Amino acid sequence: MGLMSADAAENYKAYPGGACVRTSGSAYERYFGTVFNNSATSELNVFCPLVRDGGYILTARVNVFDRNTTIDVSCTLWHEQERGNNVFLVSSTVTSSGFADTYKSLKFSGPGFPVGGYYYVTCSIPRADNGQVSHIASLTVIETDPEVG
Amino acid sequence: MTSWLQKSVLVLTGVVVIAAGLVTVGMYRDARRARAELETLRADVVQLARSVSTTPRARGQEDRAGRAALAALQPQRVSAAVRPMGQAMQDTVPVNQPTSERMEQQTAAAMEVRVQALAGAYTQEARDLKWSPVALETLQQAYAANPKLAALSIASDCRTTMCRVDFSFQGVPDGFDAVRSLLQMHAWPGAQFAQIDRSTKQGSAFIAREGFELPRADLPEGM
Repeated sequence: MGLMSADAAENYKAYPGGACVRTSGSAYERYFGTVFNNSATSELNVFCPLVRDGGYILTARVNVFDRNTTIDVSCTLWHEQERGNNVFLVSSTVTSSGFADTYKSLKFSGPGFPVGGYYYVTCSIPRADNGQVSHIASLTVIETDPEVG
Repeated sequence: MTSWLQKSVLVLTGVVVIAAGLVTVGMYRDARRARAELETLRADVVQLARSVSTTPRARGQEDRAGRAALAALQPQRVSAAVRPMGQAMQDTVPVNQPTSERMEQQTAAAMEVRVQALAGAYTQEARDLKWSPVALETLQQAYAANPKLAALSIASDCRTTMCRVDFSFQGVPDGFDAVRSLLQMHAWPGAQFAQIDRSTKQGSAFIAREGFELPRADLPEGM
C-alpha cells in the first residue's frame, strides 16, 4: 500500500467548539463544550486548532447553530506549509445558509492530495439575533491513518 | 393722518401685487424648464428601450458562449475523491529519512506542482463573459474596502471556474501581514490555493468559483 493511497485506513477525531479561541470581535462565551457569540452588535472570530497526526484530511465538519436570520456562520479550513522561501496556503470556505433551530454541519472535502504542514479552522460567528445566539458546537476530522515509516 | 395711513396701505398693496407677479413669472419659467427636461428624459427612455430590445439577443449569445466554455471545462471539474499518489512519491525521498520529514518534503513538492498546474489551467481557461466581470468586481470591491490592503500591488482577473490574484508586497512595511489579510478574505464560499514567495515578496492565489473545485494537478512520474 502506498504511503498516502486512497484505501488508507481512516483516523477520526472530534473536538469541542469550546476549544476554539477568540481572535477578534465579541463576545466570546462557552456553553457546555460549545462556543457562542453573546454580542448583539458584532461578529465573533475564532481560531480552532486541529491535530494532524495522520496523512492528510479526507473530510472535515464544523457543526454549528446558526440562529441569525441574516448573517451566516462562515468557517474556513486551512492547511499551511512552508518550503524554503515559499509558504503554501490551501483553504476552503463553507457558510451556513440561514437560520435553523437545529445544528447544521458545514462539510469540507479534503484538497484531494496530500497536504502537510498544519491544519486549523477559522470561523465567524454572527451576532445574537432577537436574543438567540449562534454557536460552534463541535469539529470533526477524518484523516488518512498515520503509517509508521 | 388718515391720508398717510391710506397711502401706506396702497403702497404695501402695490408691493404685494408686484411680488406676486414676479413669483408667477418665476413659476412659469420653472414649469417650462421642467417640461423641457421631461422631454429630454422621454427621449432618453425611448432610446434606452430601443437598446434594451436588442440586449436579449446579445445576452443569449453571451449565455451560449458561457455555456460552451463551461461545457468545455466539464472534464476539469473535480470530484472530492482522493487521488492515489503515494507510492511514486515515496520513491523520490531517501527511505532512511523519518516518515514525517519525508512526508513534509513530498507534500511540499506536491504543492509546487499544484501551483504550476493551476497557473497552466488558468491560462488555458476560457472566459465566462457573464460571471467573470461580476466576480472580478466582487473581488475588487472587497479588496478596496479593506484598508490593510492599500499598500499592496494587486492584479486580479477571472475566467470561468476560477480567479487569479497576483500580489506583491515589495517595499511594504508589514507586507506579510497585509498579504495574510488579503488571503483571509473570502469573497464567496469555496476553495483557494495560494503561494507566497518570501524572497521575491510576491505571490499568487487561485480562487475557485462557487460550486466548482480548483483543477487538480497530475503529478509527474517519479514524484
